[in-house]
Amino acid sequence: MNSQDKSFSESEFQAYVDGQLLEPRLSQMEAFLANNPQEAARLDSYSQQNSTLHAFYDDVLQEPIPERFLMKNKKDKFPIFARSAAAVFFMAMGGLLSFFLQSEYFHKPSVFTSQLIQPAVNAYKVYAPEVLHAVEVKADQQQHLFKWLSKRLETDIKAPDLEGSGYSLIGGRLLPSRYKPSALFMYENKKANRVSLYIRHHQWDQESVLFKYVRKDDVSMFYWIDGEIGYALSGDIDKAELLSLSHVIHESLTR
Amino acid sequence: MRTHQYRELTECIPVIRRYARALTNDMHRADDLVQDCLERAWSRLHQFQQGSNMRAWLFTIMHNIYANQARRYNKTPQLVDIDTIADFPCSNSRQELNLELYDLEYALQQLPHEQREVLLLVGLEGMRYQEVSDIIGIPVGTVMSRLYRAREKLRNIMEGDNSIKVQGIND
Repeated sequence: MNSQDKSFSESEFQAYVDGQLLEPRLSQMEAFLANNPQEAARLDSYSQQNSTLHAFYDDVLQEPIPERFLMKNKKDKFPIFARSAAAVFFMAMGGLLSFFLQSEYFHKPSVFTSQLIQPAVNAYKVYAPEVLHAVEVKADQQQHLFKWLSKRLETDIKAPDLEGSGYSLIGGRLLPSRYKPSALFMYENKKANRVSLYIRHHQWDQESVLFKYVRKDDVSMFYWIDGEIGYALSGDIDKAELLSLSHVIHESLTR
Repeated sequence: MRTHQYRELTECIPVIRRYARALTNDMHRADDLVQDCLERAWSRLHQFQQGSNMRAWLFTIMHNIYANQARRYNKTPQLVDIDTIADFPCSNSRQELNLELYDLEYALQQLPHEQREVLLLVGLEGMRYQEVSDIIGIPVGTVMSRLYRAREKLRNIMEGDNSIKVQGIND
């Protein structure tokens, strides 16, 4: 194919998407696409696949590197006394480091933030203000709802009964998230205050976390982890009331 | 010189981890893959030629391990059976499909592993086609055709949902 040829090979289309098409074909391609909206749309959908991949997976880059990935067999490189001294030094550093990591100041974004807190806040902010479409499946079909969500989250999912605390279940929905979808239940009290319970099935670093409070983007939340299930109760209500609801939910789920 | 290579390899860990995660869609399997890859890399670091491409070297090791494993795992695809989830009220099925539209991960898992690999090396890792060809050990032409087929398949999965969505709106 000579460079004047105005027809393009499939490889050139791909190369255009990946920024690997060179001049003069690049300019010719741009001219071609300006007149061929259908091809342009196809290539645009390929580019979007690239950006969606980054959106899904780039936060893996921020995860701390597990110890087991680092070199183990550095033996023979240092004499024994140097290794002992190094061991003592690193243990001391490790102690200091874990002290700092646990302290409030160094509490950097964790897997809880990215996989539980932030998605739960987002879900609350998007769906709680929805009058008609706050949920996908309403409470009057809750048997369907629980069955469906249990299948998709691959664990037993039920919405706890909060009537005793003045909150009625409106219904629930499935939400997209990494690895497995998540579930959201929406509740409302007589004053039309809404709280949402976000449920996430995930391999957490810790087996059990009890009632941590966070306030993010004007949403208050208690979250906790029970085995592989993370829960986040969000609402714009009093902290004490939110905590007491969290206790009721936790008790009803562990019963 | 050794410290330099040590640092270079360590700096590549997050990238190969991201790739493994996307490739397997399973955090534990991905990290096992990374660990297998790194164990080999650490033990052969002395063979690594100063000045050659560390990232490409690691991806080549990972490709070989993955290709071996994929032969084993191929028999048990981790797909969600759409029929088993279709038994909830019809009025909501449109929203459900709408969500799938964003579920690129789900679509990724439907690709044959050879296509998924090429798509991720190009689309996520931003590699040049020649580099992908060297890593996987296939001609550039094969890289291009796998890439094209992977992208078309993903697009079809998504547009398949779209057509259903359009029908739903017309009802």
